[in-house]
Amino acid sequence: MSNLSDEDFELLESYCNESISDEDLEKLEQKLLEDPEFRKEARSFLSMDSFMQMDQEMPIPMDLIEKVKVEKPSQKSLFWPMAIAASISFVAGILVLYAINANKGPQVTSIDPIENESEIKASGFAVIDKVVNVEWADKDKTYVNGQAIGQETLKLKSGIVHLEFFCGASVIIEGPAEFDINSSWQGFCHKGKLRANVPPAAHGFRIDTPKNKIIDLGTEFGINVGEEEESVVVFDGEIELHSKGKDMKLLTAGKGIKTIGTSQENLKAIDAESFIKTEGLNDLHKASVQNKYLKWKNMSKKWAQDPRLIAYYNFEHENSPFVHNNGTNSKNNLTGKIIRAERVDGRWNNIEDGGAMEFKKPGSRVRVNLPGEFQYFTFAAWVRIDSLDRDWNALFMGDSYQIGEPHWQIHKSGKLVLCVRKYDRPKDYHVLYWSPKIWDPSQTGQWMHLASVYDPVKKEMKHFKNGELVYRAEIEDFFNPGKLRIGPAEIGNWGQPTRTDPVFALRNINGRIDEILIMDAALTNEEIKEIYEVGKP
Amino acid sequence: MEYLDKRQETFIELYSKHEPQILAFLRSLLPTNHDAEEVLQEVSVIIWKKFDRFDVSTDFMRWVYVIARLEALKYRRKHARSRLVFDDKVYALMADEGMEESELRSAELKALQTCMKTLPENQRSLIDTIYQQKTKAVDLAEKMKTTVSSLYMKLTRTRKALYKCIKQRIEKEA
Repeated sequence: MSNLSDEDFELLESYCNESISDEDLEKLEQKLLEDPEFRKEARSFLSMDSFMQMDQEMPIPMDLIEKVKVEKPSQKSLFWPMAIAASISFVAGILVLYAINANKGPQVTSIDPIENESEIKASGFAVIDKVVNVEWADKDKTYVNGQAIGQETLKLKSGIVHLEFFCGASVIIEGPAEFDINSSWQGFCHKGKLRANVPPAAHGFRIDTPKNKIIDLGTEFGINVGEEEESVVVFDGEIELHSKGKDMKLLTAGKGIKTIGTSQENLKAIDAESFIKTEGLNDLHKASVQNKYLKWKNMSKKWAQDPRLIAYYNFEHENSPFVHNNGTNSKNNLTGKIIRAERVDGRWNNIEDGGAMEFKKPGSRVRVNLPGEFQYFTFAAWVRIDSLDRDWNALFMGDSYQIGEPHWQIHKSGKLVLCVRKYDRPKDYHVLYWSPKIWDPSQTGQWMHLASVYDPVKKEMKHFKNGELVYRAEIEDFFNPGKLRIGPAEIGNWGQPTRTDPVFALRNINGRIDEILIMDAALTNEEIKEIYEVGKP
Repeated sequence: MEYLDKRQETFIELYSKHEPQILAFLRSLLPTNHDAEEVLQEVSVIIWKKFDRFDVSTDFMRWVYVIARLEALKYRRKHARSRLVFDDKVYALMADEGMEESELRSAELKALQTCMKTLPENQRSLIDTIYQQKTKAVDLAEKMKTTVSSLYMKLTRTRKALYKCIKQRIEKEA
């Protein structure tokens, strides 16, 4: 028990308030000099005065990084002492941060870990508008709806791809086919069947084949390239046909030419119906999406019963301000509350039930509470980013970010980042696991599947994009928090206004989240792949 | 950026574990929290620079206290005009004795964290505003439409309560 008298208190108090009178100051010094017990109490009292500066309850380490970054923009070289000094200048000063960057060891990251990219350019010559029932020849080279592609070769075993070239020309390719995109004005058809529709703005669009060169003069035409023979037919308008060793020919609507070896003959009749049209493709596409949706829905029911689930929100449309936990194993009520976030179409465009949440408005979020203690974390979600507006763009964030709680988010550099808090203050270690870049503005509006697996047992942390492992790191014992927790948390945002401070960080992700799985398990690479394959639109 | 080696890791671990104690030690030697922080910043850089020469099998805190004490002395000399600076004899006694109290400091810090939770909301938020958000008492008084002295009275009451709570807890555990 304290032995301080009221007078002693007053002396120390006024000293701390810097309001002590000269007379009292003298008294204080005298007492300190003479009385060892009082000196001891004085040290305790002054220590308390210094401890109180330390944030007691709501540490916001991520914010600290941001602040450090703002204050120390150019000190990349002097790394360690600077990092300490920088963190200390925020009083709490108790924070030593680590980051593990892709393929490198752990790094201190109080200083911006991200290389400066002056301008990120969207790259590509064309966009894949639709992929319908495609089987790709090479499993490692597959493409999805909405994807921008540059100089690349599409190899289809079967199925149909609709390409929109940036010049305005649109090309429907039917497999089996092999097609190079060479520029936004030019392609090469090695084999297969295609129909090109070229608006006036794209006059001069050109497709080459092994035997011919077709330059469009504003039209719609078809090409069929086989092993031995090629045919070129014009449905509308006019093209220039340049064939090897032959004079250039002008071909008009209703005309066609077949090339076999080096000889050519005019086609007597052209079969426009054998080349698929945009309208027909739309119907096929719709049917194929519907089909995939139903397959996914079946699997979704299976996942919902997985005993390893912590929670599962698939955001299927319902008319209420709540999101239903689809998981069936929890005894707790894990219903989420929608705040400002909007129900929008998900990755199954046009399918009535297929909903997602949009977190465009600042402050928008879905609040959940997931009690319990866990051994592992797997987070998996379909995400559509419109732009990365914030320094940190939230996917799933534990509210208070205490020991063992996760923060899953995307940094403005386009890297996926997971961190799990290791210590409580004052030892505030935590580690940030940075994936390589998984997003750039060329992917605006495209759905992608992101997953992160945190396995303290195998000491392994992994990030996945579209079912593929993109990053793996060892969880060092030093950073291993042991038991994992979530508690109150948010999807799509972070930053509860704290008790006395109404200012909150903006972390809402400018985009949509469609389906998020949170599991107390370290899903295998194959399981992640399956979730992606079944769920991809 | 460079890789962290084992030594850096050790340093981080030791440093972050003991930082509150170092700060508290400096606080007992210097007139204000602000001064203590300034010196802590110096100290952290120095101990990192000298960490190569530190034998990890020996007492880290003792080593740090010696450095901290020296830096605090330098700082005192620079700011000797502040009337709140203790005289040299008091300074030496506080430093000598303070160096022996590392464990007591960590017990106090732990107790404080518990005690903070027992405070009524308005007192907690006052601590938060003054200590963590660093709002000047004058500004806060103006905002709250009260006087500085009545604000200090509230602060005093709060600190007193906290202090008693800390001492009580430590006694209980001891």
